Amino acid sequence: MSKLRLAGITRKYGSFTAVDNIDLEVSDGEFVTLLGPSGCGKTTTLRMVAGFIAPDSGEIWFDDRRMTDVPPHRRNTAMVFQSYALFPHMSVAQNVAFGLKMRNLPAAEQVKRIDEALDMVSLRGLEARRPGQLSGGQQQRVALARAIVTRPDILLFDEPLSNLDAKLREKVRLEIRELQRRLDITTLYVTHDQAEALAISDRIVVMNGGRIEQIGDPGTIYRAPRSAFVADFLGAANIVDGQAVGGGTVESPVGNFAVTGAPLSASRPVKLSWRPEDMKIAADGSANIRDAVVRSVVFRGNFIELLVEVAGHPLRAQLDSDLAVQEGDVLSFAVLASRIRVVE
Amino acid sequence: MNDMQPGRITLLLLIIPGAGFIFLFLSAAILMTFLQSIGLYSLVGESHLTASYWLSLMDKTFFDSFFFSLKVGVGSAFGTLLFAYPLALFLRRRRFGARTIGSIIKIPLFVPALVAAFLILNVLAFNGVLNNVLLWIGIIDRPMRMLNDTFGWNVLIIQVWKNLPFQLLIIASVLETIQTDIEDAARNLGANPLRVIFHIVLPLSAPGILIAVVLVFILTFGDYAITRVAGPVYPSSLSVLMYTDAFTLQQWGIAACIGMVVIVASLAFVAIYARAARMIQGMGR
Repeated sequence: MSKLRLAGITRKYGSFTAVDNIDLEVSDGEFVTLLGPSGCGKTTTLRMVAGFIAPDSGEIWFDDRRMTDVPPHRRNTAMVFQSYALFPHMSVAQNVAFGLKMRNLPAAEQVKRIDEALDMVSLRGLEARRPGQLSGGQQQRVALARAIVTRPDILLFDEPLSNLDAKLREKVRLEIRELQRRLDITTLYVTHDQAEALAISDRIVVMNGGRIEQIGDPGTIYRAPRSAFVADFLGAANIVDGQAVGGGTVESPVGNFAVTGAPLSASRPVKLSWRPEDMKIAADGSANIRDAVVRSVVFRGNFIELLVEVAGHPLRAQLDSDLAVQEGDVLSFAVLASRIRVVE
Repeated sequence: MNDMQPGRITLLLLIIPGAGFIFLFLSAAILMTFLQSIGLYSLVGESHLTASYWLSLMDKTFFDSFFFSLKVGVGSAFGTLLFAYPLALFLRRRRFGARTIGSIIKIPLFVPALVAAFLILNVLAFNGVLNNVLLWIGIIDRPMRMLNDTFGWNVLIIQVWKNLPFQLLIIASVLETIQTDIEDAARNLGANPLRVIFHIVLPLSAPGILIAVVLVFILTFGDYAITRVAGPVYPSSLSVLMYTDAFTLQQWGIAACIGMVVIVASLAFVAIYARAARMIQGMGR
């Protein structure tokens, strides 16, 4: 394992800046996820760590070793690709052995390590198969075994679960996390799936347009998004423009809200954000959102999802599925001050 | 969709124009040549079953020609590969100049074999470009004799020149099918560029190499024009020998025997190729 440090790395493609002056530190054994929409620069960043792409400026460090100009085959990273990128002409065992062979390890040591790795991903017995004879889930495990068997300084994942079906995805995601903890490998993980990022990471780096929007642990990122982009990208969010009027109060078209936390100077325009699950049906006295007309009701099993309209503004709410709500109903909601975030 | 299924007869009628044409002109022609070689169909004189053509074919001239053709075939196929493969690897990286080189290299594809032979002759001739350049630089002090040498170097050189773009196109298209991810994975696991080529690119492009080698072999094994113009006086290639037997010596029966040898040898190589290709494909999937 190693500590990973990116210092001001930038990568341009013509006039397009894919990665824009990024600073990031990943500690020994930490699991950090780069999360963002496609084109946000997360994969480019990952590939720069692997050495497939050279940064135009900035530096990459593994511990106190400067890796910026080191070719990929001398970096001791291991990457799990979205396509798995297994070698089709080699058996499972040969695939896993490849990294060890390149490191010229003694044959006995190779065999021991391959067995170990295949045990960890429960693939014993399939050593002689070719990748083409395996299911998607099994191929994914081979890719994982091939990566960890080399005992890399840094483990890299490029959307490794996107080719699996939903059920398998959740299972493998837990297995990856468990394996990473057990082996204590510094890990950089790329995904566009916010649920995956929340479930798997020690810290999440939300990226947008080549820049870092916010870095934090999953709880902080979800509960205290710094920007409207982060609030919206991680789960659903209601984002409303308002005006601070002093005394911690914000006036908005959908109602007036008490805001805790950041002190707000009067008559400043602000953006407010809260989660659909923070909308609670309220008696008239405690309500801060009134006259919300229900436009649609979607049954989601353990909850119902509402789209309501307040003074022409759409808001999303999640309510207990026992509640009998119908389209056209007029409701009042209360949102706790502690759940409302002032965002950029 | 139920009663729209075409019947057997309809299918048969549909394939007749294509398959029938090939069948008529391939099978019938091969059969006639075979019959001719055993005397059952003669263009001159009476037809009767005889082994005399085959027996009189089996002399030193024939074997020398056979091995000369084999040498030219195998030599051209692998000799071309020696240049085509590294070139394909280079062009694939799309480095500076790759496009220009890629276009220039295709020129021999559009030059007929006979013309190609003449073009190269001017370079290799006793008083040709190469000799003059070498004299001028001072590497040699007498012009070298490079044409009509007994080994057939000049034939090989012309064949390589002529077939290079052909192999290049085949190999390049196979290299295109190798995913970048797979090479990246190899680099990531510690393979330096040379080992990536050796362990990943080479095995994955083996089917393409095989196709390229076999096709060039078949094209060059039966060559007439280039051997005739630039080849040694003796031995000649099978095709040249066949021409001489048929048109100069009026030995049509013997010529037919040579034709059979060329066809069978080519088919044998196609069979080897098909087997090997299946084997490699079985490995890859």
